[in-house]
Amino acid sequence: MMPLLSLAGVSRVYARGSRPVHALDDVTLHIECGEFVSVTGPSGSGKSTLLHVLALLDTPTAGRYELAGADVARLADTERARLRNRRIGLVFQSFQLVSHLTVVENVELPLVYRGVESRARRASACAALERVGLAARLSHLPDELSGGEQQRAAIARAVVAEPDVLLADEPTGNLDAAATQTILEIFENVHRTGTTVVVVTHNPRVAASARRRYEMRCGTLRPVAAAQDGA
Amino acid sequence: MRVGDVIEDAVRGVRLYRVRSLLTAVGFAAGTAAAIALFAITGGARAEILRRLGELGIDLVAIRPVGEARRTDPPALTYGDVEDLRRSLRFVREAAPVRAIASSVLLPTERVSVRAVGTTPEFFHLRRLRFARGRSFTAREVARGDRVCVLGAAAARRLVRGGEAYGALVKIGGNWYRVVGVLTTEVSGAPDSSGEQANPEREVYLPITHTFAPDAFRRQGLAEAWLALAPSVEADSAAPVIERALERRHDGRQHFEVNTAARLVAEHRATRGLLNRLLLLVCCAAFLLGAVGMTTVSWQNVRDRSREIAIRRAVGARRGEVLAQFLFEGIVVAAAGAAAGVVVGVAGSGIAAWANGWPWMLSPLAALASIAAALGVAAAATLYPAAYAAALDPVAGLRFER
Repeated sequence: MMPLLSLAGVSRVYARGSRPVHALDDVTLHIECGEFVSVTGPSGSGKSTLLHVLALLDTPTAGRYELAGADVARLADTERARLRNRRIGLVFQSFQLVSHLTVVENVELPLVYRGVESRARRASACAALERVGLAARLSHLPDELSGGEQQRAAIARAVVAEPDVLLADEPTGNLDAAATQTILEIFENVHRTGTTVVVVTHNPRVAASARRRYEMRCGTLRPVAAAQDGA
Repeated sequence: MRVGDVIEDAVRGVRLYRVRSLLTAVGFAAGTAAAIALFAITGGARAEILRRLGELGIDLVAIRPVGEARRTDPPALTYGDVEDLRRSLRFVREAAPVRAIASSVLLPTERVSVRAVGTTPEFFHLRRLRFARGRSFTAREVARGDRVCVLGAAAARRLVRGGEAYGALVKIGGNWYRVVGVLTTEVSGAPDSSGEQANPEREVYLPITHTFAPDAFRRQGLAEAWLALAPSVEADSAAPVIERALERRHDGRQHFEVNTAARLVAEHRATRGLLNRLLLLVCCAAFLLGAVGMTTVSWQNVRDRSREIAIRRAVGARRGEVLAQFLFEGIVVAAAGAAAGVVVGVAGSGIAAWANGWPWMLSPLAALASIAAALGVAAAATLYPAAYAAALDPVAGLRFER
């Protein structure tokens, strides 16, 4: 079976002054459709860079990246934006909601860029918000919500366009234990619908909920052995 | 992304920074108002030139007295001058002296004030006046001093009520005149040298011999004179010759003006040119200030919203869509300013034209051109910040925390 996401020998080197920084160093990763994968690692190990490359927000310096069998590493910006809009949902640690848009307008955003007619996208956004338990908060501004609620709204925005893969960067980093549990349950529900989930996290509980786990250190990725599970 | 969504996003963006947007719109309102005023006043001037050119014709020269004449001064233009020009200048094909006097017509129930115009038959021909009934008076009738007259259409309705004007007797200034012709209504007014509105439709035309005191036929002043030139002679070449001939007759004094089509255009350019240049300067300065303001504000908006831009890019916005969003924000601000500017420009220039007695005419095309100029300037002013927004690295923007 063809992997949904496939990285082969991917590197990402930043120039910081005259010194090159190897954020990703020869990373190889294959994620099948419908998998739940977590990536852990210390700060600065390259987790977020990996997620940005997977999300087509960043371009690898070397290596090959295939999304559903198609080489996407060096696509034009327009095509990358189109793929991001149609196949990828993104969740960030700091929620990244547009502060002057209401919750429902934030959730509609991916559909706006897909050219969906306003009534249809409002219906989809309401359904997505209902799935994360925010049906009563449609017309609130993000600042009027708690952290947990904002992250639920962000997840609703990530899944409203029914992407193939949900990429989450420290989704519980700013949340308390109860809110973390709610987010985990939502991820489980999303995963159960067949969506591939990739979570980058510091949180062992979140990492443990994944079926397959990886660890990043100094830009290199290695699988976490089954014996280490539950650590 | 749909066009409606782009506009909706742009309006939202404008409302996000209301004060900034309002201040930027003021520049565009001022620029558009100045452009509208410029178009309205130059449009009116152009219409007036065209009307006067139509009145003058390409082969006609009009001579009119100018300036305030003292009672002791000899007249600036006399019947004798016109006769002399006709005799001495071979290129003068025809001449029509015009003397205008205020008179009155006695009706059974009232006395009606009229403007009596004393002239010769050539006048009707040179001014292209057409007759609804009858004819002009003849040279023989003028020479004999026959009591005949021609009425403008409106004058005929006023002076001969409930009957046929043609052939009727009308008592003008104490004497009875037979109406030998009535003009059509296809004539328009033109101010004469005294500023009084001359309107062939409302006037009463008499043989010029009846408007002079019997002993002062050649010496009394004329309101104007019309000369028709030979086809081979250009009016602009003939005008200086006519001026010199008249100056010689008046001992070097020049209390008259000789108008040709080209001179009219030059006169209008000279009198309105300064105002037009001033308005053009205001218009350019206002648009320039608006453009500088808009670039600054757009630039600040992009910097303040780099995180929002990154979020939009992360959910699938293409660079072109981000560019369109910021470009339309500028255009929406300029459109609001331009709409206000149209109102201010129309009202302001209308009041100024009314107060100064200038003609005012604004074509819809000119109004659209003013609005288009505002929108074009706004688009140009916003283009660089919008392009910068579109080129922002989304990863860097997502790292940005408020």
